Amino acid sequence: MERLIYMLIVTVIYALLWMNKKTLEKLFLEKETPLLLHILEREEVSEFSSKRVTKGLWVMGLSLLSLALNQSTFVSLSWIVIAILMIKWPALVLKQLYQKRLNQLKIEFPIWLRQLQILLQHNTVVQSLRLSQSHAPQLFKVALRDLVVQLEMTPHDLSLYTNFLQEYQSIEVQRAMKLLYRYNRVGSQDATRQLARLIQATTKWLRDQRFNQQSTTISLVGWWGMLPLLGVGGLFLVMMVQTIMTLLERR
Amino acid sequence: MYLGITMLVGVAIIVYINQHVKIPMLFKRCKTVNSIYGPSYGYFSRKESWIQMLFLLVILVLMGYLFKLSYEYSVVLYVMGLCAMPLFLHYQARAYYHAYKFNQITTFLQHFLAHFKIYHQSYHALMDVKNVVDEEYAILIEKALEELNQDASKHPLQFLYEISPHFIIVNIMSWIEHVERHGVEESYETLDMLENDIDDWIEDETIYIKNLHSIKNKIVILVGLSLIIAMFNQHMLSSFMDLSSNNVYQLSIFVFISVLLLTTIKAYELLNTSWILKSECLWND
Repeated sequence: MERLIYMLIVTVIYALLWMNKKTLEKLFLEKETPLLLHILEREEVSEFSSKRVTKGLWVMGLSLLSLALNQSTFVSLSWIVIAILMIKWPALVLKQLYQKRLNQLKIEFPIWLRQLQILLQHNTVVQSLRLSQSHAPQLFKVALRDLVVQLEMTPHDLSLYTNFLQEYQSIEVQRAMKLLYRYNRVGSQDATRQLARLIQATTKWLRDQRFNQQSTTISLVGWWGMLPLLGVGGLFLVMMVQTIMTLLERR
Repeated sequence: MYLGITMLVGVAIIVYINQHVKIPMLFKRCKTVNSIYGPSYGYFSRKESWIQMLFLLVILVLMGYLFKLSYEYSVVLYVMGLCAMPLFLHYQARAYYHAYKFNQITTFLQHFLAHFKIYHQSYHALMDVKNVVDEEYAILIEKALEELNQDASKHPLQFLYEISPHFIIVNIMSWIEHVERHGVEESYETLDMLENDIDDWIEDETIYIKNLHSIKNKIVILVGLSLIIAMFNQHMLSSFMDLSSNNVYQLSIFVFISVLLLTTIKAYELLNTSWILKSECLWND
């Protein structure tokens, strides 16, 4: 009887969860997820949230089933943990994808900026931006095209520069775009100085990125050195067990 | 069962090796090595290759003997070692190739810019740089000059872009195009920037490759050290039991040596790292 009441309570709670699915969606929605969905050009926020919460609730249903089948509390709790993980997992994947794109941007943007600096020697900023489109990275080709179109209409609008790739919230990109704006606005005397600053900043950025990539590779390959030590450790362990077994057998 | 596991480990290592160097290539001349040392060289035609192969075989036989490995395990170990040999040679050859390619490209770029500064004409600069680079690249420059004679609209450095679409090369191409169109005045700042970029590139890559090679040496030393430790272990155990008839010992030592072989292969694989970072080559190619 007690068990029946217990099952009834759990089923009612589960039904309540289904009925308040929208609240659950809001509860599990991370602050940055809508922005990430927009940057990565994925589905609408409501659709994304609904999908993952539905999946999570179905898995949570398995926990109820395990209770009904009289399995241990550990099994039921495991299903609940899995359900929460299933709800959280898509957001983690989104974050990873975003980080990957951000890293790609940090490598490709200074390279593109270097090309732009060459073009700036004989062209205006807008013209250089237009010419740089042919070798622009895929990651921001569309954004660059839009920027050129908007700059042709209002070439002295600062917000157009600062809003460029704003979604990635990269300080380096913002700084470079502000320098570019200043180069576009100031007189020819100061323009050379502004360009020199831009070149200096890009040189540092390029080297830093190269160094980061190389140090990541070096730190990863260094782990191979652990393998012989682990091997000899394992061998030592196996042989010690073997020795103890032999000694026990002799006794 | 033990022999089954042994065979499985052996097959896994051979499959891994086969991914890098095709096993049938053992019996043929290999293009990868040929491209570096010239058409008359194959894997086994060089004296050093034979010496290295003999050295590895001696080490393996010695290990088999010292660790009291049974005949079956020893044979599998020798086969694995012999199969790994072309892979070691391949990595060494690739290391030379990568260094050679980077050296040729950077030498060419530095001299080309220096000559271009004087003549302001890419054709003359190319003519002069032809004498600085090696024969293989001199032929490519000769070909580029011929193409320029036929079609003047073609970019003089297009051949270099086809070898490596690195952003510095593209920037130099773009700069040359502008200078030839608008004149060199007010462009010296950019020239300085490009020259600095090349210098930084050489410095960064040299340090990076040196670090990788030193990691490789460290891993090989660790392999040697773990072999010495295992030897002590074996020496202690031989007073307790008959190791040559102990199946657990035989299998453990075989797996251990296989792991060491795999680690050495992975360490040598570091030699096959290009000096030109892939991420710095243009993305639309």
